[in-house]
Amino acid sequence: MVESVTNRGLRVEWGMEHRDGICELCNIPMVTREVEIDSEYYGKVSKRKVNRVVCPKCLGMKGRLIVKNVSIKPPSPPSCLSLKCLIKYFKDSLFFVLLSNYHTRRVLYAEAHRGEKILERYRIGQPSPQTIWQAIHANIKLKCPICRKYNVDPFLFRNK
Amino acid sequence: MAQTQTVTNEGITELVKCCSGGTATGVKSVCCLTDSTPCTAAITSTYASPADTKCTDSGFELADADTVTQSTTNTTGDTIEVDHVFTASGSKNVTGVIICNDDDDVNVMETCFNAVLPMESSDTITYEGKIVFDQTA
Repeated sequence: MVESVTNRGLRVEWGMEHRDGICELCNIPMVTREVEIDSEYYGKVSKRKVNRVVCPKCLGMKGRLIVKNVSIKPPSPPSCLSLKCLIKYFKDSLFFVLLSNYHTRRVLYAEAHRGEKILERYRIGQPSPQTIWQAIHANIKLKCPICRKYNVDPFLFRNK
Repeated sequence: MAQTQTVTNEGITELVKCCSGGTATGVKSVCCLTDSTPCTAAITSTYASPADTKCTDSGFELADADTVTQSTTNTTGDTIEVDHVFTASGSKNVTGVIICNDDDDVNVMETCFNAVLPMESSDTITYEGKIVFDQTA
């Protein structure tokens, strides 16, 4: 038997949005009603009655966004034992930890300030840090109430 | 706490049974998890014993997902996609979501959020979960 080792396999991705019961367009409380939705099960579409919050004015079903969560891909294991591969894995792991920290703090901050005006980036999670340095900045900025409020980078003292 | 997500061991068994003609059912249901602290998704989790307690009320209990589709991430049709909107009928702390089979006896995939979400009445959680059979290196 020939054995082939690859990085392929089963992967999980997910996304989640938490919204409140105030219509994002009309800014009025929504009410729970039984509505009919198109439900699909592997190509078979059927109508189904479910309870949803509906705006009595515009009939929209979207409340104000509290927080959006996205899946963060963990670093791939090193593909070789050379120093280059190991350093890359170490850097990827460090970035993953910092990014996870940032998104955890962001979600907690957004949840604690539901209904209040905060920077949109903390609700939607975008733009997200792309490098270790950006992740360090973003974490410190999120800890600092003045930087958060005025959208100022704590290291560069300018808007970012 | 970092967010965690995984396909469980019993989920893999169920998916392989589906492919090999065994007695099994496909992905269909969703259920929220609840606790006062964030959970950690584990491959050893089962339907009877998930990462956290399964919600049984307030609109977060086990239900058929709004849509379950076969979609494409890299290779045509390589993804099982589950979409669902949970509508809160009361207050609840939500820590994650599990995706189950049609028989509601297998926890196929588990997702734990990075923080406990304090849900209030009329709040909604729009969830999208994907299991990708990844063919890209």
